[in-house]
Amino acid sequence: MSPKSMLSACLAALLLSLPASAAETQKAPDPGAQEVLRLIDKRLSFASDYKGVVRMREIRKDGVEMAIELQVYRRDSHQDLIFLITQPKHMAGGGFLRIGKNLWEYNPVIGQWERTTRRGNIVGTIACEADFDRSRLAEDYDATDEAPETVNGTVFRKLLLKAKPGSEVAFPVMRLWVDADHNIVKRVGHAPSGKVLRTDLIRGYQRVKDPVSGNLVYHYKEVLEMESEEGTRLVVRYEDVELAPLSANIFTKAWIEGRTR
Amino acid sequence: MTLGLLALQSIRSRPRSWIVGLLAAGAAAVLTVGVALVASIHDGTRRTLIESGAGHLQVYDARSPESPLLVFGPNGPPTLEPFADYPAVEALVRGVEGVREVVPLEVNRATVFRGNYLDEMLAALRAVVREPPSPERDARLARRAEDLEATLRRVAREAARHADAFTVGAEHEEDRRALESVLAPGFQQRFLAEPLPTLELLENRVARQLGEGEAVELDLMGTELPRFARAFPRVEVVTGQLPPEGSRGLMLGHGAWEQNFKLPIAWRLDEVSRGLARGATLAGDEGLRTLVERNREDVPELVSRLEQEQATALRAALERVQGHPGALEALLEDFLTLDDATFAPRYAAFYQELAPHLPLYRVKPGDTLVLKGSVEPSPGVPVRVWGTYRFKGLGGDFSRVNITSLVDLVTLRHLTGRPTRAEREETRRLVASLGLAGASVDASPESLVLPTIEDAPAAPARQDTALTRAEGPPPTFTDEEVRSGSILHAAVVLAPDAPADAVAARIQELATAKGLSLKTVGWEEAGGFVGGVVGMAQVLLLAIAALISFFVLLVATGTLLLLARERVAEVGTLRAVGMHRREVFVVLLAEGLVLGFVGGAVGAGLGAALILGGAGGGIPVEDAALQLFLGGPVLVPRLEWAHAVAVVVGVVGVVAGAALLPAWRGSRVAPLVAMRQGGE
Repeated sequence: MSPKSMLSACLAALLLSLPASAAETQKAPDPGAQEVLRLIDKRLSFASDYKGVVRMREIRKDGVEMAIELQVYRRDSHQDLIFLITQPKHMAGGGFLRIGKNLWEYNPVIGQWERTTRRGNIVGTIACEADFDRSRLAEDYDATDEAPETVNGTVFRKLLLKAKPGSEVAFPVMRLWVDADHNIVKRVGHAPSGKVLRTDLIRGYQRVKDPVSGNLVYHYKEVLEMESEEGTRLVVRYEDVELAPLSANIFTKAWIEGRTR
Repeated sequence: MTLGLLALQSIRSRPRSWIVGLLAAGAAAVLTVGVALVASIHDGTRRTLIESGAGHLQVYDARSPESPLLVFGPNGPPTLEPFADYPAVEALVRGVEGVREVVPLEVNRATVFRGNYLDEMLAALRAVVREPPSPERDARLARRAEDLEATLRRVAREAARHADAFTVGAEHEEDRRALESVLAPGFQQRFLAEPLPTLELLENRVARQLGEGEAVELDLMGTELPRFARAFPRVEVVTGQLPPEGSRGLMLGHGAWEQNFKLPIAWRLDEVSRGLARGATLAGDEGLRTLVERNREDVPELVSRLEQEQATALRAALERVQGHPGALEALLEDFLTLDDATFAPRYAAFYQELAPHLPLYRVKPGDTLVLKGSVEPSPGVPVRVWGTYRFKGLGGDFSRVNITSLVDLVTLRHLTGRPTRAEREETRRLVASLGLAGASVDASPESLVLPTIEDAPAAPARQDTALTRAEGPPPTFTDEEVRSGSILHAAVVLAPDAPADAVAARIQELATAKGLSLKTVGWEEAGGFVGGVVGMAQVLLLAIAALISFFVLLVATGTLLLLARERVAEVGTLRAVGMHRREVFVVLLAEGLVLGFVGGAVGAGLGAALILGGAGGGIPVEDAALQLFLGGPVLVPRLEWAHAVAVVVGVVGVVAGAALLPAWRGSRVAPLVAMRQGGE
């Protein structure tokens, strides 16, 4: 081949490869399954202290209905957490206090604190501690991809999560459906046998400015939880979210006791 | 007549035929005793169930997917639909002839949690700290601070020993250092100056080092307690008293109280005592020796639980009993080092001398327990313990019925998460006021819909306002509150001579006429697996009877066939002198009948003698579970003459069946052949 024709061939090859390279630079490769969990955790985490109101409506299969309002306080840097029930009247003042690895349940009627290991069925509902806590999917689970699902033209990435050894989680196996922006759309909690325990549909998110990191973070707005065995359904609404420093002594028994009269 | 005499003569002259009679006697004797035992089990279980809450009948709403079960398994209580109109149901049932009492019921299970001993000690201190300031409160706080320091020093020593012996994690090491810093000189002064921060630190960093505590499960029967005690007169109050009419309250089964709330050291001593009473020895029984060893290991924990005054008094008592001075822990360990020779006097001394200075029961009549529903998660429901009770004569304290606790229906309703009318109304108001009316719970678990994303509105900084603390269910309730609430089933107690089946049919008839949705079940079905034991015993007896009959049939047929073959010549002679084949058949069959009847009668008589003579006064039963099925601590086999007659008739039938083939074959022999065989 002459130098001229060689140059022409190289130019032609270069020109042919250009569109492909441009496309590759436009579309970054999809993150791995574990990376998706990290992205989700990051979007849902705050550097600031958190204060919010959770309002829940639960309807059991037998028609019994329950409405509960509770205040949630979090300091994720120390893993401290408070749920304080404000409504209904017969439960008001009760709640949970987590300090480090201790989870305390407070019965306001007799002023008794009880160390508990119960991470599920918070305040007598099908909700569990993790529903109100910092998202720690990447710390607690190993994720693998399953075949994506397409509904009405929208592709949802489907992940299978298995709890890491030693992690304390409500569901040893979980499936997540995430949208293109890595928002969880649906999550299904399974028993180790594979039996479905609870299905959650995330109906809405709210964006909040984190004053400490300066980032715009995501927080659930409304979640529908469906328990499989008993058929109980629970709508959880997260409202009045404030990301701001909390009082230094808030995560104490004395503070919770002092909130009631 | 002649044929009968011939048969008798033949039996008398052939002792080998008596084998058949002996077999019949053996079978009849075994079956007579067996039938009497099964009848006793049936009677005992019936008595236990009917008199411990099941009543003769249980009435429940016909829309229920399951029927009432008083003794339920690990899956929890049955699912029942509450009566739409309980007062109408009760009025209807009471109006039926033969009904003596109708008692509303509900069964369930609850859990009581307790922390470890340091959790309990710190909780007691917290309660003192909360009291309004007074010199008495300060003095009490100072005394308890002294006790706390002694306990913490013991915990610190244990933690240090543990850290020396094992590799501990960084977190554990941090907790240990936190404890050491708390115990720096001047602990009591610091604690008394600022008790709450120290308590928080101890609760979160130190108490958890001693474990999570424990959960105690209680089987509950919800009812109107005073009415229940009137309807079931075997209820015997052991300690405390029944709650007055209209008061919420818990009567612990005496067995449940002993098992779950007694000082573990005392409970283990009781266990050893019971073992020795059964004839075991400490030298020969490893299980009993383990109990003794565990008691010694528990000494530090027990000493930690004691208040200063108790510890001083206990030490003085131990010095008196042991006859020498010493440190409390050493004296107690020495006292609890037991063998067969020392157990009896030490056991007596424990209750006489030491128990008055010990917290013998964690929960006493008058205390409040927080119950938690274990089937439906619910916030704890505080309830006053009024006392303990047992069903007199229905098994030992640890039988199933005596470990069931009685509780009022209002408390049980709270535990199961069934809201009261006021709570339902409040929920309706809250759904509207909290803006949850539009929060739909309708969606398919299969659906996938993109969530909405919105910017959170800027929330104005909220002040945390004081909340009005929940008061819990009030300690009293009205009759209307109980009856208008959801009642799941009711026990129907009948007059002694009232036929349960007829009463059930009448209830059903009246309910249909009045349009009430009702169903009834008998005590056997309501008794769950306890009632099922009766059926199982009956099936077992039938199987044994079938096996025995088969054995008798085989052996008797073989023996009689052999005898028939030996008598071929005799049969030939009889036929030759003009006896018909039919008459030969009757003679041979009659032999079987006579052997069966005589053997059966003798055997039944023998069985009856064994029951009346050998076990007439009853057989003592030690095992509490067996006592439950036998209706008490003594098994009295119940002999009914009708049963004995049925056994004899059955045995005669089997032997007659066995005689059919030999009689038929014997009667078929031709006279000529028979005489030729006889000549050979």
